[in-house]
Amino acid sequence: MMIRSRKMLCVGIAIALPLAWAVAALGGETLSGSRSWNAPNPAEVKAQALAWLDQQKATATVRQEAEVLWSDMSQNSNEVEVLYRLAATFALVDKNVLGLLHLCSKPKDQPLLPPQQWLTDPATPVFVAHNMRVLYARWLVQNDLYDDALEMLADLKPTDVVAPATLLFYQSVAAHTLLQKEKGLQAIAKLMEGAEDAPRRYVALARLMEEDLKGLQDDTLDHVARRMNDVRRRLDLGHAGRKVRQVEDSIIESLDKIIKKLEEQQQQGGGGGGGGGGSPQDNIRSSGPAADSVPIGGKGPGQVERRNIGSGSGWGNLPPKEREEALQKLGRGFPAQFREVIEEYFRRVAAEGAKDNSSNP
Amino acid sequence: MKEAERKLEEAQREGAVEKQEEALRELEQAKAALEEILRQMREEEIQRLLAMLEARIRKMLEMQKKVYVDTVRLDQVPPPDRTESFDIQCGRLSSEERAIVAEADKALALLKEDGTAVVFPEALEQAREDMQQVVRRLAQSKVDEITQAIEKDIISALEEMIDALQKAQKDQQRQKSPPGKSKPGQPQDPPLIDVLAELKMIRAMQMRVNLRTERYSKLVQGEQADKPELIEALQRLAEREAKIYKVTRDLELGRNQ
Repeated sequence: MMIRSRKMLCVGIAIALPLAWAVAALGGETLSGSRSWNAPNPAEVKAQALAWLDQQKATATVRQEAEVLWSDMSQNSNEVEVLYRLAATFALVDKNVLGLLHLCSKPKDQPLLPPQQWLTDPATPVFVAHNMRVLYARWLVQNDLYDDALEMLADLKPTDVVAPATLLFYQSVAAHTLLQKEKGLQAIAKLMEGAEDAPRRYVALARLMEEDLKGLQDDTLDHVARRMNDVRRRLDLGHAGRKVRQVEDSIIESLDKIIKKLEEQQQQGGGGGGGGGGSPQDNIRSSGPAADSVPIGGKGPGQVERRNIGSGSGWGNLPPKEREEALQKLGRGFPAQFREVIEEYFRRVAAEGAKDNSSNP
Repeated sequence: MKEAERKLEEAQREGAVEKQEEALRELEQAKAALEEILRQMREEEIQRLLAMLEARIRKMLEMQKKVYVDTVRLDQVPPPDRTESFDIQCGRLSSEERAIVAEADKALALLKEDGTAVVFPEALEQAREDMQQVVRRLAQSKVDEITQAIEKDIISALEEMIDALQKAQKDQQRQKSPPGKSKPGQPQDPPLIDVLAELKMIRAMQMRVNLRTERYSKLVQGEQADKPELIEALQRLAEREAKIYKVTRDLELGRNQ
């Protein structure tokens, strides 16, 4: 009865998943060139899976069930679909894989994860362990467990698995979230080597992550904020151990460096003010940026020879209409409480002008 | 005749141009004078606001210290001797803590009205959340180490705020430029508390999260907590961290400008 329900689960997963992943198409054709990986051919993977089953001395019934699992496999099936069919084949004879498939078929619902030592146990066949590590890491990333995912994928190479683009994509995602710049950029570069074969969503996201990682600088407020978000994620997962405290301590270290730098800038007089943007290294906006682009810190005496350009041509004078508009605008920029003061000023100017005119006819 | 008319017009125009220039000069002077008045008004406003905030937070600190001393005193009462009068005293302490929350609300209203500080209101908001937690715990007659630790956190948060406010007032005094000496490019509306002081406040808030994580870590084997109440406490801490993250992002993006 139990064996039957296991088999039903495997068949169910294998049938349901292709529908969910139908969006991303992955060709089975391999391309030559300088790339370090090629997308495996689904037919070859099927042959490998059935050969592995034969090695395990599977019964004729089990072999028949495996044949059913792969029966509707097309050459255009995407690699995640191939990976899940492979897992379902393994699960026909391996209870560890069956348990893993069960776990990965739903979101994380308990704080402590069941141990999966068999995935790193040398006694587990490499073909099973490598591919199931990718499947498990994918689920871990989807549940915000990036450290565990990176550990799972640490020493895997694209040629080790039937889903190389998935391996590289999830390596990139985990490294990007954990702000491991070099590791992330390396994984993205490798993924891009086979961009034409990888699912389009992987490629599009990888490009965004690449841009983001390239601009990442240590000890900036941006870097500090990202680590704060990482601490938030860890605490939200219920983590309070060494790893979360290490990230927390590194935030304080970076903040101390930024504060020290700002204090030094302030002591040197200026605090980055006037330049409109503060120090580019620490990416903090100055509290006193320039309101407009004005020349600051000129060293010359500022004396120029005065030239008489005459006034006969009216050069530099605004046409009367524009002049009037400009004068009106001058008053408009002030707050309402100064209206009276401004009006009084204009009255005084007008009165003085009239007096001058009457005294100098 | 026409020649004379033209000459007369030219002569008048020359005079008119000078008058125009003079009028424009005077307008510029008037504008500068008004800008100076505005700047002085903002400086005075900031000084007044900083002094008011400092006085209010000092008052809160005194009240909080008293509540802490009384909490420690009540905790020394052996559990078998905790009678009805013990609960009454705890309830009274809870009311005193609620009065501090009311003071915090007034201070928050002042800060929100000004609107130029990013981190300070969040720091006060977090201290207020802690105060509310103390109100609840004292109302349940919980005077144990957890309540005392939260009260100590509040005290250090308030002390840090007072330090920041004092520094801001000193900076304000130092930067106060003599009349008519406003620098070109000087912002018309400087923030209440400068970036450096706000960064220090972020550091202090992060430090409090770190200390709490450390406290919780002693109850955890390995990385993952397994007790529901501990997971809940860590998730509350995660919410706090999310707020610190948000104000840090706001400061980085200059959203207070």
